[in-house]
Amino acid sequence: MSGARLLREPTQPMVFNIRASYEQEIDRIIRYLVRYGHSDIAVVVQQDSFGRDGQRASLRALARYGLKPTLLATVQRNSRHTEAVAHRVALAQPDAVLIISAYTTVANFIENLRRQGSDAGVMSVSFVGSRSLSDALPASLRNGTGISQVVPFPWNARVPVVKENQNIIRSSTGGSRYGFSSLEGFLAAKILVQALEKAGPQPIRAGLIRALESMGNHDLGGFRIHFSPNNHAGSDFVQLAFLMGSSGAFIH
Amino acid sequence: MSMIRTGGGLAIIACYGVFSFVTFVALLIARFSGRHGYPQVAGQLLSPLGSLYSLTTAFLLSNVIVLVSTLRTSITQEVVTLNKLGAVVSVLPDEQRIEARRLIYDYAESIAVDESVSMVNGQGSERTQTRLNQLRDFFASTNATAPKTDRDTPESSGYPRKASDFLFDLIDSREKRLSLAVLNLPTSLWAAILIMFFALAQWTFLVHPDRRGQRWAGMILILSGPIPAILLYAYSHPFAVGLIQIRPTLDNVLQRNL
Repeated sequence: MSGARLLREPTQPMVFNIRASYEQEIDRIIRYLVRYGHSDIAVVVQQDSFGRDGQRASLRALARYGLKPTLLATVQRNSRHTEAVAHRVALAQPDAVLIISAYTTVANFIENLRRQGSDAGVMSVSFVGSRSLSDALPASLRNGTGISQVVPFPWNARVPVVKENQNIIRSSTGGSRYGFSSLEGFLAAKILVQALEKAGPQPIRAGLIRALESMGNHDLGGFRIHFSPNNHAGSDFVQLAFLMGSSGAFIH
Repeated sequence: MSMIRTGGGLAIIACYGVFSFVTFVALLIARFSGRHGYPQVAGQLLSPLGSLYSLTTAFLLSNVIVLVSTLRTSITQEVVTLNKLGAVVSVLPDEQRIEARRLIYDYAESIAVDESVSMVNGQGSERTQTRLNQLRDFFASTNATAPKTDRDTPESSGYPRKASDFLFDLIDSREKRLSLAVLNLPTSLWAAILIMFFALAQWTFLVHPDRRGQRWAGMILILSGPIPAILLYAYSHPFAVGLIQIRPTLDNVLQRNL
Protein backbone atom coordinates (compact mmCIF):
# COMPACT_ATOMS: atom_id res chain seq x y z
CA MET A 1 0.00 0.00 0.00
CA SER A 2 1.51 3.25 -1.06
CA GLY A 3 0.57 6.78 -2.01
CA ALA A 4 4.01 7.51 -3.45
CA ARG A 5 4.31 9.83 -6.42
CA LEU A 6 6.45 7.47 -8.44
CA LEU A 7 3.49 5.07 -8.70
CA ARG A 8 1.27 7.80 -10.13
CA GLU A 9 3.30 10.26 -12.15
CA PRO A 10 3.60 9.52 -14.97
CA THR A 11 0.67 7.11 -15.15
CA GLN A 12 1.95 3.55 -14.87
CA PRO A 13 -0.01 1.29 -17.26
CA MET A 14 0.08 -1.68 -14.87
CA VAL A 15 -0.55 0.21 -11.62
CA PHE A 16 -4.03 1.17 -10.41
CA ASN A 17 -4.10 3.25 -7.23
CA ILE A 18 -7.20 3.03 -5.08
CA ARG A 19 -5.87 5.39 -2.42
CA ALA A 20 -5.13 9.11 -2.39
CA SER A 21 -1.51 10.22 -2.73
CA TYR A 22 0.72 11.20 0.20
CA GLU A 23 0.65 14.69 -1.25
CA GLN A 24 -3.14 14.83 -0.87
CA GLU A 25 -2.89 13.46 2.68
CA ILE A 26 -0.27 16.03 3.66
CA ASP A 27 -2.29 18.77 2.03
CA ARG A 28 -5.31 17.83 4.15
CA ILE A 29 -3.24 17.73 7.35
CA ILE A 30 -1.72 21.17 6.73
CA ARG A 31 -5.12 22.60 5.81
CA TYR A 32 -6.56 21.29 9.07
CA LEU A 33 -3.66 22.58 11.17
CA VAL A 34 -3.74 26.04 9.61
CA ARG A 35 -7.51 26.27 9.90
CA TYR A 36 -7.32 25.71 13.67
CA GLY A 37 -4.57 28.23 14.27
CA HIS A 38 -1.38 26.13 14.10
CA SER A 39 1.06 28.16 12.08
CA ASP A 40 4.33 27.00 13.68
CA ILE A 41 4.63 23.57 12.13
CA ALA A 42 7.77 21.45 12.27
CA VAL A 43 8.28 18.81 9.58
CA VAL A 44 10.23 15.62 10.26
CA VAL A 45 10.81 13.20 7.38
CA GLN A 46 12.65 9.92 7.02
CA GLN A 47 15.74 9.78 4.81
CA ASP A 48 14.50 7.99 1.70
CA SER A 49 12.34 8.60 -1.34
CA PHE A 50 9.16 8.38 0.72
CA GLY A 51 10.52 11.03 3.10
CA ARG A 52 11.63 13.26 0.24
CA ASP A 53 8.18 12.91 -1.32
CA GLY A 54 6.66 13.96 2.01
CA GLN A 55 9.08 16.85 2.41
CA ARG A 56 8.25 18.21 -1.04
CA ALA A 57 4.51 17.91 -0.41
CA SER A 58 4.78 19.52 3.04
CA LEU A 59 6.73 22.51 1.75
CA ARG A 60 4.28 22.96 -1.09
CA ALA A 61 1.24 22.71 1.20
CA LEU A 62 2.75 25.16 3.73
CA ALA A 63 3.70 27.60 0.96
CA ARG A 64 0.04 27.68 -0.10
CA TYR A 65 -0.63 29.48 3.21
CA GLY A 66 2.50 31.58 3.04
CA LEU A 67 4.21 29.42 5.66
CA LYS A 68 7.55 27.69 6.03
CA PRO A 69 8.29 24.86 8.45
CA THR A 70 9.45 26.03 11.87
CA LEU A 71 12.02 23.27 11.59
CA LEU A 72 12.77 20.71 8.92
CA ALA A 73 14.54 17.62 10.23
CA THR A 74 15.26 14.10 9.08
CA VAL A 75 15.26 10.73 10.82
CA GLN A 76 16.78 7.43 9.75
CA ARG A 77 14.36 4.91 8.30
CA ASN A 78 13.00 2.57 11.05
CA SER A 79 15.18 4.32 13.60
CA ARG A 80 14.52 4.01 17.31
CA HIS A 81 17.03 6.73 18.11
CA THR A 82 15.15 9.98 17.70
CA GLU A 83 16.36 11.73 20.87
CA ALA A 84 18.44 14.31 19.02
CA VAL A 85 15.69 15.15 16.51
CA ALA A 86 13.07 15.35 19.28
CA HIS A 87 15.38 17.67 21.22
CA ARG A 88 15.77 19.97 18.21
CA VAL A 89 12.02 19.99 17.58
CA ALA A 90 11.24 20.73 21.23
CA LEU A 91 13.69 23.65 21.18
CA ALA A 92 11.95 25.07 18.10
CA GLN A 93 8.67 25.12 20.08
CA PRO A 94 6.25 24.36 17.24
CA ASP A 95 2.44 24.18 17.67
CA ALA A 96 2.37 20.98 15.69
CA VAL A 97 4.72 18.43 14.16
CA LEU A 98 4.13 16.59 10.90
CA ILE A 99 6.22 13.45 10.83
CA ILE A 100 6.54 11.29 7.73
CA SER A 101 7.90 7.93 8.80
CA ALA A 102 6.92 4.42 9.88
CA TYR A 103 5.29 3.59 13.22
CA THR A 104 8.40 2.47 15.11
CA THR A 105 10.16 5.77 14.44
CA VAL A 106 7.04 7.87 15.00
CA ALA A 107 6.27 6.17 18.33
CA ASN A 108 9.85 6.61 19.46
CA PHE A 109 9.83 10.24 18.36
CA ILE A 110 6.60 11.00 20.26
CA GLU A 111 8.03 9.43 23.42
CA ASN A 112 11.20 11.52 23.15
CA LEU A 113 9.31 14.69 22.26
CA ARG A 114 7.09 14.40 25.35
CA ARG A 115 10.15 13.62 27.45
CA GLN A 116 11.59 16.93 26.25
CA GLY A 117 8.47 18.67 27.60
CA SER A 118 6.86 19.54 24.27
CA ASP A 119 3.08 19.18 24.00
CA ALA A 120 2.95 19.97 20.28
CA GLY A 121 0.30 18.00 18.41
CA VAL A 122 1.80 15.23 16.29
CA MET A 123 0.31 14.32 12.91
CA SER A 124 1.30 11.66 10.41
CA VAL A 125 0.11 10.10 7.17
CA SER A 126 -1.63 6.73 6.68
CA PHE A 127 1.66 5.03 5.81
CA VAL A 128 2.54 5.11 9.52
CA GLY A 129 0.09 2.25 10.24
CA SER A 130 -2.60 3.51 12.58
CA ARG A 131 -3.14 0.41 14.70
CA SER A 132 0.57 -0.40 14.80
CA LEU A 133 1.34 3.14 15.97
CA SER A 134 -1.33 2.94 18.65
CA ASP A 135 0.08 -0.40 19.87
CA ALA A 136 3.68 0.89 19.79
CA LEU A 137 2.89 3.97 21.88
CA PRO A 138 2.72 3.80 25.67
CA ALA A 139 -0.92 4.16 26.77
CA SER A 140 -0.27 7.53 28.40
CA LEU A 141 1.04 9.02 25.12
CA ARG A 142 -1.64 7.82 22.72
CA ASN A 143 -4.04 10.67 23.22
CA GLY A 144 -4.17 13.32 20.49
CA THR A 145 -2.02 11.86 17.71
CA GLY A 146 -3.58 12.64 14.33
CA ILE A 147 -3.31 10.42 11.25
CA SER A 148 -4.67 11.07 7.78
CA GLN A 149 -6.68 8.15 6.37
CA VAL A 150 -7.42 7.19 2.80
CA VAL A 151 -10.41 4.93 3.42
CA PRO A 152 -13.70 5.61 5.23
CA PHE A 153 -13.76 5.21 9.01
CA PRO A 154 -13.91 1.41 9.56
CA TRP A 155 -16.31 1.76 12.53
CA ASN A 156 -18.80 3.99 10.72
CA ALA A 157 -21.49 1.51 9.73
CA ARG A 158 -23.45 4.26 8.01
CA VAL A 159 -21.15 3.90 5.01
CA PRO A 160 -22.53 0.88 3.06
CA VAL A 161 -19.15 -0.58 2.08
CA VAL A 162 -17.95 -0.29 5.70
CA LYS A 163 -21.12 -2.04 6.89
CA GLU A 164 -20.46 -4.82 4.37
CA ASN A 165 -16.88 -5.15 5.61
CA GLN A 166 -18.04 -5.22 9.24
CA ASN A 167 -20.61 -7.94 8.49
CA ILE A 168 -17.95 -10.11 6.85
CA ILE A 169 -15.51 -9.59 9.73
CA ARG A 170 -18.22 -10.38 12.29
CA SER A 171 -19.20 -13.58 10.48
CA SER A 172 -15.58 -14.75 10.18
CA THR A 173 -14.01 -16.87 12.88
CA GLY A 174 -10.49 -15.52 12.66
CA GLY A 175 -10.99 -12.96 15.43
CA SER A 176 -10.17 -10.07 13.07
CA ARG A 177 -10.77 -6.50 14.16
CA TYR A 178 -12.06 -3.58 12.15
CA GLY A 179 -9.19 -1.46 10.92
CA PHE A 180 -8.00 0.95 8.27
CA SER A 181 -5.59 -1.49 6.62
CA SER A 182 -8.07 -4.37 6.47
CA LEU A 183 -10.72 -2.07 5.01
CA GLU A 184 -8.24 -0.88 2.38
CA GLY A 185 -7.48 -4.51 1.51
CA PHE A 186 -11.20 -5.23 1.34
CA LEU A 187 -11.75 -2.30 -1.06
CA ALA A 188 -8.85 -3.40 -3.25
CA ALA A 189 -10.17 -6.97 -3.39
CA LYS A 190 -13.67 -5.75 -4.17
CA ILE A 191 -12.46 -3.62 -7.07
CA LEU A 192 -10.33 -6.44 -8.42
CA VAL A 193 -13.20 -8.95 -8.27
CA GLN A 194 -15.57 -6.52 -9.98
CA ALA A 195 -12.97 -5.85 -12.68
CA LEU A 196 -12.40 -9.60 -13.16
CA GLU A 197 -16.13 -10.13 -13.53
CA LYS A 198 -16.24 -7.33 -16.07
CA ALA A 199 -13.27 -8.77 -17.94
CA GLY A 200 -15.30 -11.82 -18.95
CA PRO A 201 -15.07 -15.58 -18.41
CA GLN A 202 -11.45 -15.83 -19.51
CA PRO A 203 -9.73 -12.79 -18.12
CA ILE A 204 -6.31 -11.97 -19.48
CA ARG A 205 -3.99 -9.15 -18.41
CA ALA A 206 -5.07 -6.76 -21.18
CA GLY A 207 -8.74 -7.54 -20.53
CA LEU A 208 -8.37 -6.82 -16.83
CA ILE A 209 -6.67 -3.50 -17.54
CA ARG A 210 -9.41 -2.58 -20.00
CA ALA A 211 -12.06 -3.52 -17.44
CA LEU A 212 -10.43 -1.35 -14.78
CA GLU A 213 -9.93 1.58 -17.11
CA SER A 214 -13.55 1.43 -18.22
CA MET A 215 -14.90 1.55 -14.69
CA GLY A 216 -15.30 5.31 -14.88
CA ASN A 217 -16.81 6.90 -11.79
CA HIS A 218 -17.64 3.83 -9.73
CA ASP A 219 -19.33 3.80 -6.31
CA LEU A 220 -18.33 0.90 -4.08
CA GLY A 221 -20.88 1.94 -1.47
CA GLY A 222 -19.84 5.26 0.00
CA PHE A 223 -16.33 5.05 -1.47
CA ARG A 224 -15.93 6.26 -5.03
CA ILE A 225 -13.13 5.42 -7.43
CA HIS A 226 -12.51 6.82 -10.86
CA PHE A 227 -10.31 5.07 -13.39
CA SER A 228 -9.81 5.94 -17.05
CA PRO A 229 -7.09 5.20 -19.61
CA ASN A 230 -5.38 8.45 -18.62
CA ASN A 231 -6.04 8.26 -14.91
CA HIS A 232 -4.94 5.40 -12.70
CA ALA A 233 -5.16 7.41 -9.49
CA GLY A 234 -8.62 6.22 -8.54
CA SER A 235 -9.35 8.06 -5.32
CA ASP A 236 -8.70 11.38 -3.64
CA PHE A 237 -10.53 10.41 -0.46
CA VAL A 238 -8.70 11.71 2.63
CA GLN A 239 -10.10 11.97 6.12
CA LEU A 240 -8.40 12.74 9.42
CA ALA A 241 -8.56 10.47 12.44
CA PHE A 242 -7.16 10.98 15.92
CA LEU A 243 -6.06 8.53 18.54
CA MET A 244 -7.89 9.44 21.74
CA GLY A 245 -7.62 8.36 25.35
CA SER A 246 -5.25 5.73 26.60
CA SER A 247 -7.02 2.78 25.01
CA GLY A 248 -6.07 3.69 21.45
CA ALA A 249 -9.58 4.41 20.19
CA PHE A 250 -9.98 6.46 17.02
CA ILE A 251 -12.25 9.39 16.34
CA HIS A 252 -13.00 10.79 12.90
CA MET B 1 -6.16 5.80 42.50
CA SER B 2 -4.40 3.67 45.11
CA MET B 3 -3.13 6.89 46.70
CA ILE B 4 -6.72 8.11 46.91
CA ARG B 5 -7.80 4.88 48.55
CA THR B 6 -4.87 5.06 50.99
CA GLY B 7 -5.96 8.57 51.98
CA GLY B 8 -9.50 7.32 52.62
CA GLY B 9 -8.17 4.29 54.49
CA LEU B 10 -6.04 6.46 56.76
CA ALA B 11 -9.04 8.66 57.54
CA ILE B 12 -11.06 5.59 58.52
CA ILE B 13 -8.24 4.32 60.75
CA ALA B 14 -7.99 7.80 62.30
CA CYS B 15 -11.75 7.75 62.91
CA TYR B 16 -11.45 4.43 64.78
CA GLY B 17 -8.49 5.83 66.68
CA VAL B 18 -10.41 8.90 67.86
CA PHE B 19 -13.44 6.86 68.91
CA SER B 20 -11.26 4.31 70.70
CA PHE B 21 -9.54 7.15 72.54
CA VAL B 22 -12.88 8.68 73.57
CA THR B 23 -14.09 5.25 74.75
CA PHE B 24 -10.88 4.79 76.73
CA VAL B 25 -11.23 8.24 78.36
CA ALA B 26 -14.86 7.48 79.24
CA LEU B 27 -13.74 4.18 80.79
CA LEU B 28 -11.01 5.88 82.83
CA ILE B 29 -13.41 8.52 84.13
CA ALA B 30 -15.98 5.84 84.97
CA ARG B 31 -13.37 3.82 86.91
CA PHE B 32 -12.01 6.92 88.61
CA SER B 33 -15.45 8.02 89.73
CA GLY B 34 -16.25 4.41 90.70
CA ARG B 35 -13.35 4.16 93.18
CA HIS B 36 -15.63 5.29 95.97
CA GLY B 37 -18.60 3.37 94.64
CA TYR B 38 -20.45 3.72 91.38
CA PRO B 39 -23.27 6.28 91.38
CA GLN B 40 -26.72 4.80 91.06
CA VAL B 41 -27.51 5.68 87.45
CA ALA B 42 -30.66 4.52 85.76
CA GLY B 43 -29.98 1.86 83.11
CA GLN B 44 -33.25 2.81 81.40
CA LEU B 45 -31.73 6.16 80.38
CA LEU B 46 -29.16 4.33 78.26
CA SER B 47 -31.74 3.45 75.63
CA PRO B 48 -32.90 7.04 74.86
CA LEU B 49 -29.29 8.20 74.82
CA GLY B 50 -28.34 5.44 72.34
CA SER B 51 -31.40 6.22 70.25
CA LEU B 52 -30.50 9.89 70.13
CA TYR B 53 -26.99 9.02 68.87
CA SER B 54 -28.30 6.57 66.30
CA LEU B 55 -31.09 8.80 65.03
CA THR B 56 -28.88 11.88 64.71
CA THR B 57 -26.16 10.05 62.80
CA ALA B 58 -28.75 8.20 60.69
CA PHE B 59 -30.39 11.47 59.75
CA LEU B 60 -27.06 13.01 58.72
CA LEU B 61 -26.12 9.86 56.87
CA SER B 62 -29.35 9.72 54.89
CA ASN B 63 -28.74 13.32 53.79
CA VAL B 64 -25.25 12.63 52.46
CA ILE B 65 -26.36 9.36 50.82
CA VAL B 66 -28.99 11.33 48.89
CA LEU B 67 -26.33 13.83 47.81
CA VAL B 68 -23.98 11.06 46.70
CA SER B 69 -26.80 9.51 44.64
CA THR B 70 -27.31 12.91 43.04
CA LEU B 71 -23.59 13.09 42.32
CA ARG B 72 -23.58 9.62 40.77
CA THR B 73 -26.55 10.54 38.57
CA SER B 74 -24.83 13.76 37.59
CA ILE B 75 -21.67 11.93 36.50
CA THR B 76 -23.68 9.45 34.46
CA GLN B 77 -25.52 12.39 32.92
CA GLU B 78 -22.21 14.08 32.10
CA VAL B 79 -20.92 10.96 30.32
CA VAL B 80 -24.19 10.56 28.41
CA THR B 81 -24.02 14.23 27.37
CA LEU B 82 -20.42 13.78 26.16
CA ASN B 83 -21.62 10.88 24.00
CA LYS B 84 -24.55 12.88 22.66
CA LEU B 85 -22.39 15.89 21.84
CA GLY B 86 -19.90 13.62 20.04
CA ALA B 87 -22.74 12.10 18.03
CA VAL B 88 -24.59 15.29 17.19
CA VAL B 89 -21.58 16.87 15.48
CA SER B 90 -21.70 14.12 12.83
CA VAL B 91 -23.64 16.58 10.64
CA LEU B 92 -20.58 18.86 10.40
CA PRO B 93 -18.15 18.66 7.47
CA ASP B 94 -15.02 16.52 7.99
CA GLU B 95 -12.60 19.08 9.36
CA GLN B 96 -15.11 20.70 11.69
CA ARG B 97 -16.40 17.36 12.94
CA ILE B 98 -12.96 15.97 13.75
CA GLU B 99 -11.98 19.14 15.60
CA ALA B 100 -15.22 19.08 17.60
CA ARG B 101 -14.76 15.43 18.53
CA ARG B 102 -11.10 15.95 19.35
CA LEU B 103 -12.02 18.73 21.76
CA ILE B 104 -14.82 16.66 23.31
CA TYR B 105 -12.52 13.67 23.83
CA ASP B 106 -9.73 15.92 25.12
CA TYR B 107 -12.13 17.28 27.69
CA ALA B 108 -13.24 13.76 28.69
CA GLU B 109 -9.63 12.64 28.91
CA SER B 110 -8.65 15.56 31.14
CA ILE B 111 -11.50 14.72 33.54
CA ALA B 112 -10.38 11.07 33.64
CA VAL B 113 -6.70 11.89 34.13
CA ASP B 114 -6.56 15.23 35.99
CA GLU B 115 -9.87 16.19 37.51
CA SER B 116 -10.59 12.73 38.93
CA VAL B 117 -7.49 13.28 41.10
CA SER B 118 -8.04 16.93 42.03
CA MET B 119 -11.67 16.23 42.93
CA VAL B 120 -10.50 14.14 45.87
CA ASN B 121 -9.84 17.49 47.54
CA GLY B 122 -12.95 19.04 46.07
CA GLN B 123 -10.89 20.99 43.52
CA GLY B 124 -11.42 21.37 39.80
CA SER B 125 -8.48 20.96 37.45
CA GLU B 126 -6.97 23.91 35.57
CA ARG B 127 -6.31 21.71 32.56
CA THR B 128 -9.90 20.49 32.49
CA GLN B 129 -11.13 24.09 32.73
CA THR B 130 -8.89 25.02 29.78
CA ARG B 131 -10.25 22.07 27.76
CA LEU B 132 -13.81 23.12 28.57
CA ASN B 133 -13.07 26.70 27.53
CA GLN B 134 -11.66 25.44 24.23
CA LEU B 135 -14.82 23.41 23.70
CA ARG B 136 -17.01 26.43 24.47
CA ASP B 137 -14.95 28.63 22.15
CA PHE B 138 -15.33 26.09 19.38
CA PHE B 139 -19.10 25.88 19.71
CA ALA B 140 -19.32 29.67 19.88
CA SER B 141 -17.40 30.00 16.60
CA THR B 142 -18.43 29.58 12.98
CA ASN B 143 -16.44 26.34 12.97
CA ALA B 144 -19.40 24.70 14.71
CA THR B 145 -21.87 25.88 12.08
CA ALA B 146 -23.29 23.22 9.82
CA PRO B 147 -23.47 24.16 6.14
CA LYS B 148 -26.90 24.95 4.76
CA THR B 149 -28.22 22.22 2.50
CA ASP B 150 -31.38 21.82 0.47
CA ARG B 151 -32.21 18.53 2.09
CA ASP B 152 -32.56 18.72 5.84
CA THR B 153 -32.53 15.45 7.74
CA PRO B 154 -34.02 15.08 11.23
CA GLU B 155 -30.42 14.92 12.45
CA SER B 156 -29.23 18.10 10.77
CA SER B 157 -32.31 20.26 11.29
CA GLY B 158 -32.10 20.33 15.09
CA TYR B 159 -28.31 20.44 15.22
CA PRO B 160 -27.58 24.00 16.49
CA ARG B 161 -30.14 23.84 19.30
CA LYS B 162 -29.12 20.32 20.33
CA ALA B 163 -25.40 21.15 20.32
CA SER B 164 -25.99 24.26 22.39
CA ASP B 165 -28.24 22.39 24.87
CA PHE B 166 -25.73 19.55 25.26
CA LEU B 167 -22.89 21.98 25.83
CA PHE B 168 -24.78 23.80 28.56
CA ASP B 169 -25.76 20.45 30.11
CA LEU B 170 -22.08 19.52 30.12
CA ILE B 171 -21.11 22.73 31.90
CA ASP B 172 -23.95 22.29 34.43
CA SER B 173 -22.98 18.69 35.11
CA ARG B 174 -19.38 19.68 35.80
CA GLU B 175 -20.47 22.44 38.18
CA LYS B 176 -22.71 20.02 40.02
CA ARG B 177 -20.00 17.36 40.13
CA LEU B 178 -17.43 19.77 41.56
CA SER B 179 -19.79 21.24 44.12
CA LEU B 180 -20.70 17.77 45.42
CA ALA B 181 -17.18 16.31 45.23
CA VAL B 182 -16.51 16.98 48.93
CA LEU B 183 -19.47 17.50 51.22
CA ASN B 184 -17.62 19.07 54.12
CA LEU B 185 -19.61 18.54 57.29
CA PRO B 186 -19.03 21.41 59.77
CA THR B 187 -16.51 20.72 62.54
CA SER B 188 -19.18 21.53 65.11
CA LEU B 189 -21.25 18.63 63.77
CA TRP B 190 -18.34 16.20 64.14
CA ALA B 191 -17.78 17.58 67.67
CA ALA B 192 -21.47 17.04 68.51
CA ILE B 193 -21.27 13.42 67.30
CA LEU B 194 -18.16 12.82 69.42
CA ILE B 195 -19.71 14.41 72.51
CA MET B 196 -22.85 12.30 72.07
CA PHE B 197 -20.71 9.20 71.70
CA PHE B 198 -18.68 10.15 74.79
CA ALA B 199 -21.88 10.60 76.83
CA LEU B 200 -23.16 7.24 75.58
CA ALA B 201 -19.87 5.51 76.46
CA GLN B 202 -19.74 7.15 79.88
CA TRP B 203 -23.29 6.16 80.67
CA THR B 204 -22.69 2.58 79.49
CA PHE B 205 -19.66 2.17 81.77
CA LEU B 206 -21.51 3.62 84.74
CA VAL B 207 -24.43 1.26 84.15
CA HIS B 208 -21.99 -1.70 84.13
CA PRO B 209 -19.80 -1.25 87.21
CA ASP B 210 -18.15 -4.71 87.05
CA ARG B 211 -14.88 -4.92 85.10
CA ARG B 212 -15.99 -7.80 82.89
CA GLY B 213 -19.13 -5.93 81.91
CA GLN B 214 -17.09 -2.80 81.19
CA ARG B 215 -14.69 -4.75 79.00
CA TRP B 216 -17.56 -6.15 76.93
CA ALA B 217 -19.31 -2.78 76.79
CA GLY B 218 -16.07 -1.09 75.74
CA MET B 219 -15.49 -3.61 73.00
CA ILE B 220 -19.02 -3.27 71.64
CA LEU B 221 -18.77 0.54 71.78
CA ILE B 222 -15.45 0.59 69.91
CA LEU B 223 -16.77 -1.79 67.29
CA SER B 224 -20.14 -0.19 66.65
CA GLY B 225 -19.87 3.45 67.72
CA PRO B 226 -17.54 4.71 64.96
CA ILE B 227 -19.45 3.01 62.12
CA PRO B 228 -22.00 5.81 61.56
CA ALA B 229 -19.15 8.34 61.70
CA ILE B 230 -17.08 6.34 59.22
CA LEU B 231 -20.05 6.05 56.87
CA LEU B 232 -20.59 9.80 57.25
CA TYR B 233 -16.96 10.42 56.34
CA ALA B 234 -17.08 8.00 53.41
CA TYR B 235 -20.26 9.44 51.93
CA SER B 236 -19.08 13.00 52.40
CA HIS B 237 -15.76 12.17 50.63
CA PRO B 238 -17.02 9.78 47.93
CA PHE B 239 -14.02 10.22 45.63
CA ALA B 240 -11.39 9.94 48.37
CA VAL B 241 -12.64 6.56 49.58
CA GLY B 242 -13.37 5.25 46.09
CA LEU B 243 -17.14 5.15 46.60
CA ILE B 244 -17.48 6.86 43.22
CA GLN B 245 -14.90 6.26 40.52
CA ILE B 246 -15.18 8.60 37.61
CA ARG B 247 -12.27 7.26 35.56
CA PRO B 248 -13.70 3.84 34.63
CA THR B 249 -16.96 5.53 33.61
CA LEU B 250 -15.12 7.95 31.34
CA ASP B 251 -12.80 5.25 30.04
CA ASN B 252 -15.89 3.60 28.54
CA VAL B 253 -16.41 6.75 26.45
CA LEU B 254 -12.76 7.04 25.51
CA GLN B 255 -12.63 3.41 24.35
CA ARG B 256 -15.29 3.94 21.71
CA ASN B 257 -14.24 4.46 18.11
CA LEU B 258 -16.39 7.36 17.00
